[in-house]
This record gives sequence, structure tokens and C-alpha cells, in this order.
Amino acid sequence: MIWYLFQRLLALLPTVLVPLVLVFLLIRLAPGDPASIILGDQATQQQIAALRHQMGLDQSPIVQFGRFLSDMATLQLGQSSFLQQPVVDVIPSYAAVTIEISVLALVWALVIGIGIGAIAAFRRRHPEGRVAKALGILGISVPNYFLALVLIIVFAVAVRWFAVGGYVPPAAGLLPHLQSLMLPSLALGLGEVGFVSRITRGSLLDVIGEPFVVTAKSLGLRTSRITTTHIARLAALPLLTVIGLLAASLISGSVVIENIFGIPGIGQLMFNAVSNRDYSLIQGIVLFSGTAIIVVNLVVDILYAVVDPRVQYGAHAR
Amino acid sequence: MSALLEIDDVVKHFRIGPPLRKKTFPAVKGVSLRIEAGTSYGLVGESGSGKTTVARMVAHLTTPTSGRIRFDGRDVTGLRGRRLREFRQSVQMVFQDPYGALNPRMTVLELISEPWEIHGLHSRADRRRRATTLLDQVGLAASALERKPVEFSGGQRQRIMIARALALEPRLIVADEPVSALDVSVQAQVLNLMKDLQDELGLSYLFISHDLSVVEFVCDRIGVMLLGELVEEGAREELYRSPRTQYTRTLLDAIPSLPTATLAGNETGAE
Amino acid sequence: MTTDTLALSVQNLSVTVRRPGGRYPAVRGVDFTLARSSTLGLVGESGSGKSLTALAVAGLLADNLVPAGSARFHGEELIGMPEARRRALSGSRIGFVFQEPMSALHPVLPIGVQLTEGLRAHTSLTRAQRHGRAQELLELVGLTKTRDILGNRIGQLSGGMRQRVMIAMAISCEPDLLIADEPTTALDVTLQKQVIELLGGLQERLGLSLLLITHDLGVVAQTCENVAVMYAGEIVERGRTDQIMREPGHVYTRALLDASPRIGDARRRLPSIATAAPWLRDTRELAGASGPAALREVSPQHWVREQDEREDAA
Repeated sequence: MIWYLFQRLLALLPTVLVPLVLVFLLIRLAPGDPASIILGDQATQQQIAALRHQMGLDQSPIVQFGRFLSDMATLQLGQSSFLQQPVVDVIPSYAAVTIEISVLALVWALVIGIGIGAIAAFRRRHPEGRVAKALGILGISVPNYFLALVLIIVFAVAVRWFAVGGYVPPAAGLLPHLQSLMLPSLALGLGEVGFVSRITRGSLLDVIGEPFVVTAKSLGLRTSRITTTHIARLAALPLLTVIGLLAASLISGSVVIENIFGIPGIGQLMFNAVSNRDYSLIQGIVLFSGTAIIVVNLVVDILYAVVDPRVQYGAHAR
Repeated sequence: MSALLEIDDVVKHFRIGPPLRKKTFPAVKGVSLRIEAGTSYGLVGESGSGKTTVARMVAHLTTPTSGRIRFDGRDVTGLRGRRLREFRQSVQMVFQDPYGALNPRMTVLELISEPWEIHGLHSRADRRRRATTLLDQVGLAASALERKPVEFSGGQRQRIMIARALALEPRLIVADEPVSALDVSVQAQVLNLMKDLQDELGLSYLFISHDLSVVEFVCDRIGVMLLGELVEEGAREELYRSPRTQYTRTLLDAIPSLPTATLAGNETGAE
Repeated sequence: MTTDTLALSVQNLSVTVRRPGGRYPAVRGVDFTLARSSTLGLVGESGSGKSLTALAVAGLLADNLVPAGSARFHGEELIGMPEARRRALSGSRIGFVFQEPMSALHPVLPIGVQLTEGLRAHTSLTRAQRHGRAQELLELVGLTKTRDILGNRIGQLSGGMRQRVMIAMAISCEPDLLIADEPTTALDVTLQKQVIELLGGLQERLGLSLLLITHDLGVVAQTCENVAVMYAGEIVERGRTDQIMREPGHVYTRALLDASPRIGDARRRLPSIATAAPWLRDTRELAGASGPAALREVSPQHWVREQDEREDAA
């Protein structure tokens, strides 16, 4: 397992490099001079020249990249031009909100998605199974912002259980805080339910058809035992992989959802940063998101090896 | 006179294991044997004996770690490039799994013509004609040409594999457990076919099997392998009547025996 | 023989395959009996229906396969048995050994867990007791280093060891009837011998009744007192093994015996029969098809099916 962990970390290095290189190129390849863009229209030539020198834009690309990497490593992410605050100070509070919503959304997606997928698999010959299968297809066809709007109309406007939008920080009370997160996390999570249910259904059907399930039957085991001990473990594997993918979906999905519900999360922040061409902030957010996704996938890899030890041995596994 | 195939103290080591902790596994530890033209040599052994590795080395699907392979007097060990491609026309292989060895998306005509395609032989019209002849030789109708492997039974697919192996008019066919996956009755058909082809075309066989009864039926000389070494070798009658090593005796004893009733086909051998 | 002395009494058993194109009779009119503590070999080639027959008796057929007829286990009817009762019998009184242990055993669960599943379901032994019993079972099937094996996954064992584990699982609750579906087919010949001897030994020790499914006539000749030969979903001959091997009554049995190569055989060619699995090319429909021809008793306890042109040897 240690060896496997080491291998995984080693494989991370090139993966981490990709967003770093992209971010590095982002500013330097955009039309116009990076320094003048950062400083905005009102900057003087001297200010631009000073910033250029400070950013090292007058040096060779390799040196620049080297400086860039060391800056990233020491979290010197510069100053947000529009918020007039260091990027490192800005990101955490927004990130916390998005992480909270995303985790809740993940829980919704998994609980509802696995539920529907399991019904679709175990009751496939009954009407409820067929409905579940259809729901899965519907789920992947409907965009999450549509769901968001439907949810708002039903729960906020019609039934008035929740507010239409806005965010209540935990400090103002736990219950109101959770209430404000309910609709956004639901919208974000439901958008992934279709995908999760289809993966669940497919994976369960695969495992159910395996010969060792017949062996378990031949031992006279109860269906519940077979399902939990023999089937679930293996069926969970593709789902684990899916969680890794969902991490990316949820972060990108949050841009739209946060906008619709007026939530001050990373998505909102990114949206504003892009609109305002706030390069330092964009850079910081991209870095944060990239790191988050990579970390989630590393955790997924480790969990996978715990559930199915065979992967630790790579091509030598049997 | 030199034999058709001679392998001389051939050794094959594999490096296995996780990176940074690889070990050397000696699959074949020095095997030598000769196959005379027009005869069949049976290589028997259990799983892990190395017999398949020897077969693959002869068919040049893998190179020996050391030792020499001579074909018709010429040293063909470690051939590469154009010479290797030419050599392949002399030695062809038939595999065990009739369900896995044929590309399910290709028609029988495409499958049989593939060797000609690779070696740039024969025109299109010629290929069709030759493929039909080959099918006839293996006992399949010309209508099979347009069909795909899925429409055939295991025994029939094995025949298609044999037809493909014959396409390049090889002198030696390496057959790796060609009938192990087949039912007894179908096995009989394929074995009969292999013997007939040998008589008609002067083929030689290197026949790999774990089934001593099958090998006795097809082969003139037999070699017994155990853990990478050739522990006993001899002409058919000798080996089966008076095996010299304990291992061979163990193998022979382990075969569940059928009571010998009067067997059909004993008289003339014609069917 | 009364039904009580019979471990298994099968009458007019059939299995129908429900396919999108219609229904196909994969097994028809199968009759045979298995006396207590004896061995019956069910012999046939691929497509003969022998595995389906075994699965039907054990209640393990897939959903699209429909059994009909009767199979009595010590007098109790197995076909159409309520699922709860089937679960109670499976593993505790009827054990099943599957053909390919690599796929029939769970790839990730430790052997120790898999071995004790039956005990967990059918006995009230504690965890520690089950663990001890698992070790005993491994020793019973001739394995050493039992503690290591219990923690391993099946992929870490050799083929012969896997088959022994499969057998250990099947007998874990000391069943009365053991059904073994091609237990030796995937093995080397020396391992085959060991497994056959193991089954024979277990039979004696535990008083098992053994239904052995195989295509290998040699295995049958060595282990089974009685044999039933199947072809195209029907039994064509059944009776005492030694008698049938010496004087096969049915054309197909004779052809099977003739086509098997054997040591010391001086024949130049093997006679063969055209027997591609019939259900690949057959279009028989259930409706309107008459039942299989009756079995005629040609000599005491030796039954042969009436023969018609369909079974002519090629």
C-alpha cells in the first residue's frame, strides 16, 4: 500500500503541472500586455513598466516560469486588482462556501442517484425499475440550471419553504444557514443524479451477472447478505471513480448555480473575476480548483485500493 | 542430414514483479530437440512446464534469452525485419482458443487472406480462389467465406484457424493445445484433419498439449517437460510402453482410463 | 428402492429457454435416480444440457430458464420449491461445485470470509468457531498453510488450490448431496487425479451422494457406479457404468467411446460424429413437438432410448 501511495503521488506531479502551465500561459498569451491589463486603463507608462519589471515579464520565459512556480509554492498569488486585497486572503472564505455546498450536493447526488440506480437494477423487470431507468436518462438530459429554476419556482415561490436566494452565514444561526444552502445544493446535486444512477445501474447489473453470485446463491445465502457483502463492494468501484469526476463537475456547475441563487462562493468569485479581467484572482481560483480536484482524485484512488486491493499490483494483479 | 527444426539449449528468462523489485523467472532452462521434416513432435507437460514458451520461441513470438534455433540448417535465432517476415512464411501457429484467436469482425475470407495481405502475395481474384481451396482442404464449404466466426462452432473455427495457418504454405505448424477447448467428437475430427493434411502436404508439427492420449495419437516423437526442462524424450511406442522417468510415469498413471471395448476404425483405418 | 433411499429422483425434468424469438426446449424428459452415498455421472458434450439439468435440480437457473417436471431430494420436491426453503437446503444439505473457480469465487473477498459464508447462514457457530472450522475444511481438502490461505484472495492461489477451496466451500456444512459441474475440466491431468481422489475420499468420509457432471468418459469410468449419457437435451442411455462402457447400447454412446483417443490405441483415425451443439442451429419449437422417445430397458437397470434417424453417426 505504501508503494501504491508513492506511485500515486509520483503520478500526481505531471498532473499538477498541467494547470500550472496553463495558468502561466493564461496571462502571457492573452492579447495585450499583461501588466497594463492588470493595472487597468488608468495606469501610467511608468507604473506599467514598474509592474512589468516586478512580474519579471522582461526576463526569459524559463526564468519567468521558475519564478512563477516558486511563487505558487509559497502562495504569493498577487493582488486582486478589483478587490484590492491579496488573492490569498480573498479566496478562502468564498472557497469554504462552495466546498460546503458541493459536499452537500455530492451527498444528494449519491443518496438519490444510488437509490434510483439500485431500484433500476434490482427491480428491472418491474414497473418501478423501468421508471427508475427512465429517470436516469432524463437526468442526464436536463441541465442543472433548469432544475435550479424549477426548484426555485416550486419551493421558494409557490410553497415558500425556502428563500429565493441569498446566503446566510453560519454565524447568523445554524438552521437559517442550512436553509439557505438547501436549494442550491439540491440544484447542483440533482444535476448529477442522472449520471450517478446510470453508473450505479450498469455497475450493479454487471456484478449481478457474475458467476460468484450464483455460487453465493448455491450456499443458500440471503439476498440481503449477497447484496451487501458480495455485490456492493465490487459495484461501488465505478462509483468511486465517478466521485472523482463529480468533483470537477460540481465545481464547474457551481459557477452557474451560485449565480442563480446569489451565493458568494468560488463560482461567483470566478464569474466576477473573469468579467473584470482580474488576472491574479483568476489565476488563484484556477489553482485552487485544480488542487481541489487533484486532492479529491487522490483520495478516491486510495479508497479504491482499500476496497479492491488488486489494483495495488498494477499489471501483476490477477 | 539436418532436421527441419533444431533447437539447441534454448533458455528463456522472464523478469517479473513490481518496479524496483523485479525477479528473474526461468521459464525454460535449456531445452534441445529436433523435428524431422514430415513428422510430428509432441511437447507435453502441465501448466508452468514451459512448453508454451518453447512453442512461442519456435514461432518467433518471443526471442530466447540464450540458445540457438535452426530451421533447415540455417540459424534463425533472433531474426528481425525482412528476414523475420520471410521466415514467418515457413512456420505458422495454431492456437488453443478458437473463440479468441479469430477477429470476430472479419469475414472468413478476410481472415484467411490476411497473411497474404501482410506479405503482399497474390492478386485479389487469386486469393479468393486459394481461400476456397484451403476451406475445401479443411472440410468447410466455400459459402463460409462471407460469414463471420460467430456463425461457426468451436470445431469449425479451429478448422478456419488451420486454413489460415496453411495460407502461407508453411513447412512447420506449431499447434498450441489446438483441441483442448473442443468436445471429444469434434476433437476427433480436427485430429483426423491434422493427420490428413500432414500426409497430403508433407507438413511437420510441433504439437503442444497437456493431454497425453491426444499426443500419442498424433505424434511420432514426444518430449515431456517439467518446470522448464525436458525430462524425457523418445519415440512414441517407447515412451508410452516403457517410460523412463518417474514424472512421465506419473503423468501416464494420472490419465483416467477407459475400459478397452472393441473400437470402431480398428480394422482398416479408413472411415 | 423406495424414494427414501434415493438421494435424488428425477422424473420428466425439462428446462425451457425463453428467448426473444420464442421458447426453446434445452432439456427434455430427463429421468434418473441417484442412490444414497453413490455416484452418478451425467455425461455429454457442450450443448447436451447436462449443466442445465444440474442447475435445475439445485434451483440455480437464471431467470430466462424455466424448469418443469420433478426432482425429489430425499422425497422432497425441488422443482418449484419456495425460495425460502431452497435457501435453507442450498449449502446445508445440497452443495454445488462450479466449473471455473476463478470466476465462481469472489475476486476480492478473502478466502476465509467466503469459506464461512455457508456456516454463517446455516449454523449458529460463533466467529471464532467458524474460523476454526474453515481451517479444518482446508485441511480436509488437502491444503496446508491454512492461515495464509484464509487471508488471501483467490487470485493469489494456483488453479489446483482454487478448485480445492471451491470444494471446501461446497461441503462446509456437510451436505447430503454434492453436485459437481465439471470439477476437473480446467485442471492439469495430475491435478485432475488429485481432485477425483479427493471427491472419492470425501464421499466415503461424509457419506455424500455425488452427482458428477462431465464430458470426460474416463473420469466417469473411474469414479461413477452409474452413468447417464445426454445428447441434445435428452438422456439417451443410462445404467451401470461398467456395463455401458463395455457394451454401449445407444449409437451416440458408442460413438463417444470410439472417438476418445486413449493410450495404447493403435488406430490410425478416430471415428467422429457430427455433433455441433444442436441449439446453435436448431429451430425446434416447444409447441407441437412430441415428447422424447421413451427409454427401453435392454437389460436389468440398463436403459436405452428408442433410436431414430436423427441420431445416426456421421
